[in-house]
This record gives sequence, structure tokens and C-alpha cells, in this order.
Amino acid sequence: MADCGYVAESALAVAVYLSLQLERPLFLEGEPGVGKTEVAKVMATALGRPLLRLQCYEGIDRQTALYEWNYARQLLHIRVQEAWPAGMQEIPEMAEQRSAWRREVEHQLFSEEFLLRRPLLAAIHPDGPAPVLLIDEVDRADEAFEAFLLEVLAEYQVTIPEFGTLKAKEAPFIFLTSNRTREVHDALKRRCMYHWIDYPDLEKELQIVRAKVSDLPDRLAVLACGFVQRLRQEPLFKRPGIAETIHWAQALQALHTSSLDPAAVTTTLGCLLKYRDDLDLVLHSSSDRSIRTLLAEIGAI
Amino acid sequence: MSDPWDGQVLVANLAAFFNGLRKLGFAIGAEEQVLALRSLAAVGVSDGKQCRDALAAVMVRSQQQDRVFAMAWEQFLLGLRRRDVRGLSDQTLMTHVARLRQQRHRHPQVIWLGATRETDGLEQGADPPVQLRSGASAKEVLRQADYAKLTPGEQQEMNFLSEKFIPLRKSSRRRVRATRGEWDLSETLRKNGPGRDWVEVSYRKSKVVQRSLLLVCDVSGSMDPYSRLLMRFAHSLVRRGLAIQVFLFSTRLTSVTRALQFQDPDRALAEAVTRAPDFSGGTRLVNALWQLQREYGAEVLHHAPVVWLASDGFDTSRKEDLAKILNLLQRQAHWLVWLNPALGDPEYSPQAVGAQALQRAADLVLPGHSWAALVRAWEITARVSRQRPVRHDFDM
Repeated sequence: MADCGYVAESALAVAVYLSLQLERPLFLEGEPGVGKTEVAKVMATALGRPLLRLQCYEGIDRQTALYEWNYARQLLHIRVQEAWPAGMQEIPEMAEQRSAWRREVEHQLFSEEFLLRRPLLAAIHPDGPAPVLLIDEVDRADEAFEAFLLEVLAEYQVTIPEFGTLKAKEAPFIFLTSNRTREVHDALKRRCMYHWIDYPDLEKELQIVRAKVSDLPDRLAVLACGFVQRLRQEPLFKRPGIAETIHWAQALQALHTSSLDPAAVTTTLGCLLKYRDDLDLVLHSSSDRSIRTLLAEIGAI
Repeated sequence: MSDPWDGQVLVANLAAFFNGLRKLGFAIGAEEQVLALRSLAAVGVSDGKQCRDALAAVMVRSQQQDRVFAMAWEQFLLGLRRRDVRGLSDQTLMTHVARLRQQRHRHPQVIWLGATRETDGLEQGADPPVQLRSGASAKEVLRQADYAKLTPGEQQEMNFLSEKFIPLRKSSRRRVRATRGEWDLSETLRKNGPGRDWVEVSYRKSKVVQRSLLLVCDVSGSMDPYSRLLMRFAHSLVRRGLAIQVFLFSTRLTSVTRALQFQDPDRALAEAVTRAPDFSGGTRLVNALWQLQREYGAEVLHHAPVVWLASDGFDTSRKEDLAKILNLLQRQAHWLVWLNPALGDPEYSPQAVGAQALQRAADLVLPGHSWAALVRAWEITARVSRQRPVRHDFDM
């Protein structure tokens, strides 16, 4: 994972290793922007497997997640087939052929040719090697969809009524992520390995920033990470994640900032804080939470 | 870790560790145990930290459990070093505390008896306006009576009150089969093969699901007479399987939804009270609401719930702070309802700063002084919650 630019703590590495070994999905939880999605992307690169991503949302259902019949093509197919044996219609002796033809068309209609494979089916029944499947933000989907996922996660198989049950030859590597906007059901978690990704400590965050924004002066990187770490201790509505830190470091670099002073922080604070209340807290509050105080505490000024 | 790590000792004592975790509320069945052993086999037992991480990946199901697991692991290691200790699971500090807490709070607390018949602190007349109408059953009297004016015995009697509640509703984005609505082309084709003379059309429409209710309940000293009523009501909502989240606050905010899932009302309420260390303390509404935003906001305010804020509004925060947080809450809530127990008194008018701010911010103000009033409030909420409230900007 380190080769692909992901700085993982050992607990996460163990969890990933185990879910590969024991062929269990890995359930990742954590605050937004701590690198949950990134784990799946990095693992796909590291294992050399394709990445399939299923973004969950409220109301996601079978058609968008698993499969769908291409009914526009099906309709077209029926029309084409109907046009061809027009002569058959009138002759009563050909009734048997007619019904055989009808069965034939019906069979064709629900064949793989007309099946649109959505991420879950594509992961179970892939053309190439077993992919890495990322089911992102599973907490956004509703409970009915969770129940639907159970069969896929436990048995690595899906059932299509017209087709029968498809079972994966090689187990795909499945990641689930959740932002905890609601409690995901225990039945789902039971079938997975679990890992909680926390905000990183200063050392790890610095490593990440150095890996992602290589041109940033070293002292600036140290101070930037220190500032973000300090900012997380404030009673913010939304604390900045690692994604925000990287974003901010890139902004500082793009502006060719040489030192971290209050003016430089104020102009780029939008990278870190995304809520007006949070900005108000830092920009317009009394001295103990002002940017100058925070910077002084980490030794920037 | 100064001691040399011995993996075999860990494996030998694993059953005791599982036992201890079970007492801490981890769901560990045979499947989990097998998985734990398989994962230990996969990583090997030569490194203590790796063993810990491997077991955590299998056992832990949430952030809270992550912390508890870390503590339990420390305790377990301590136990392993002191071989003279008999049952590890029995002696760890945490299991001990958990057991004691359960035993102590099985029975109704003295605090429940504190709700006196005399008016205490509330600006109400000395004469309780309980009217015994002829023909009304004892149950009905209990339902209608102002809760603060019931005797402890009568309050206990109310445990047997039960209602049928209509769930709050909203339409989901999920589509389901229906007898009319929009055409479901894919289903229509699936049902009707080619070469048929007639077509059976399938329809679909939006599914109607439950809208959740967020009950934020003031349990400060001034609310003492009504706290139990509100929690009792919340308990019966939870037991009915309605989508509801319950928070208590006085100086701090505590989530008690899980505690209220016990079937026995006394046990559930006792459990909830023990979780709220600040029970019947002062009122810090602004603090509590900010805490709600920060710690639970993503979880409970995400899907635009109906918010019931039960408080008497005796709060001394600054008017601007209060207006700001209430404004934020109102924007996130589908309906913001202020349940005010003091409204049971016809002469009441909101004088306190908090009460005035709540009056301005709430979409709906309803009385909450008796069981009947709460049931009525639920009915009103269920009726109006299909529509959006009309809102005007209120000045900060």
C-alpha cells in the first residue's frame, strides 16, 4: 500500500490482509475525508485488479445496483422477429411452429445479450479477473437495500429469476464505506471485517502530505499539519479531514506561500472549513480562538 | 509492553476474553469465534499488536466498540500477567462496573418520588385542576391529568397506559409496484412475452416510508415533574417500533434511545437516567443543542426528521446564541415542534428568554403536560408532517 502512496497504520493493514485471506468484505467507517474510499482505489492498483464502484444513494435498487434488462433493445428485438415470419400467421397448420418460434424468441429475449450488468453483477460475474468492488457510503442507501446486499456479501452470489443463481468463481475483494449518517444494521456488519479509521496523528499526517504534495517546503508542511491538528481540537461543526489538509497544502503551494502567517491562513481557510459557523468561530471570535493565537500555539509566529 | 509476548497463553485464554467481551455487550457467536481463530491463524501469534488488530477487525462493529475493545484488551493483558487471578472476566474493572450498574438500577429511583403533589417552582395555582368527570374511567382520568399533580402511585399506574400510534410518513425515492402510477416498462416486458395479443401493464410509484422523530428532552431541575412522563411516552414510542431517536439534556446531552429499548418501563427509564449524569441539573439549552449538532448531527439530523423539543424554556443563555442555534435546527428539521409542559396552565405566557426564543423559532407549539396532551401532540404532528411548514425569517 505504501508503494501506491497510501500511508496506512498497522491495524488497517492487518484488517485489509485478513479480509483478503479470509475472503470477507471489509467495512470501513470514519469521519468524512479520512481516506476510506482511497483504500479501495489503492488496493485495486496494488493488486492489479479493476475497480468497480457502486455509489449508494437513497432509493438505490436492484436495477441500478445489480442488473437491468435492456428493454429498449428487447422491444426492438420483438419487432424484428415479428416482421420476419409474417407468412406464418395465416396458415393454421403451422400452429406448432408458431409456438416453437414464440418460445425461441422468449428464450432469446432473456439471454445475456440483453442483460445490462451493473456493478454488483459485474463483480460476481466478471469478464476478466475478480475485481475490487467498492460499495461507497452504504449508509445513504435505505435498509431494504442493505438486506439485499446480504446475499451478495455472504455467499458471493446473486439470483436472477429468469437466469438462475450466479456464483462467483473467484471471490471479489469488497469494500464497504460508511460515514455514519445512520447506524448500519448489525446483520450487514456481521458479515464483514470492521475497521474504524480515525484522524491521523501529526506524524502520519505529515507523511501523507509529503507523499501527496511533494514540492511543499518542509517547514511549511510541518506547520500546516500542526495547524490542522490544532484546529481539530476546536469545537467545530465539521472538523477538517486529511482530504482537506491535502487540499490546503496544494493551495498553499499554488500560491507560493513561504511562511504561515495569519493573512495567508485567512485567505485559504476555505479549503479547511466549509461551514459558515466554523469560519465565524475562527475568524470573528475572541482572542483565544483567533488564527493568530492558534498559529502562536504551534510556534508558527 | 515490557513482558515478553507469549502467543500460546493468548490462545489458551481466548475463551475467557470472548466471555469478557460478551459482558461488555459485544455480539460474539460461534461464527465470530471461528473467524477470530482463523484470523489469528492467518496473521500468526508472534506479534501482540497484530493479534490485537486481527481480533479487533473481527469483533468490533462501531467506533464506540473500538474504544471499549482497546480497554478490554489492556485489561486482558494485565490479567494474563497475573496468573493467580481466577476468572478474568469476573474481575476486570469494566465488567464489574457494568454489572453493578445494572443491579443497582433495576428498581425505580428515589428521584421519581421527588415529583411532589405540591407545586414546586412552577407558577401554577395551588388548586390542581384535575376534573373528575362522571363516567370517565380511572384510566381516562390518568390520561388527562396534569402529570405533576399525580401521586407517585398514580404515576406508577401509568405504566399500563398504551396507545396505538400512526407512524409519521414521507415518500421515499424508492419505487415499488402499484396498481396505478407511472408505467414500469421493465416489469411489463418481463411479464408479457412476445406474440401475445394483449399486454398487462405494470405500474410503479414512490414508496411511503416512516419519517423519523427526534425527541430532545429537557430533564433539568425545573422539568422534574414532567421528565418521567416524557420518557415514559418516548419509551412507548420506541417499543412500538417507531423510528425515533431520544436525547436527554440538562447541562449536557445524552443519547438514550438504546436504553429505552428494554421492555420493562421501569428498567428502561432507570437505565436512561443512569446514562444521563446531569439528570435534574441546570438548563443549558444552547450547549446541548450544539452538542447535538457536533456529535450526533450527521447521524440523526441527516434525513430531515421531525424534531420535538420538550422544554419549559427556563434558560438563561444569551438571546442571540439561542436564536442562532434554534434557527440552524429549524433549517435541518422537517418540522420543529416545541412541546411545552407549562402550557397545561391556561394562564401561562412565555416570559423567560428561552421560552420566547423557542416560541419564535418553533413551527408548532403544543402542550405536553399530560399523557393525553402528548398523544394529541403526536396525532397533530402525524397529520401535519406530510406538508411543509410555512416559515418566515425570524430576526436573530
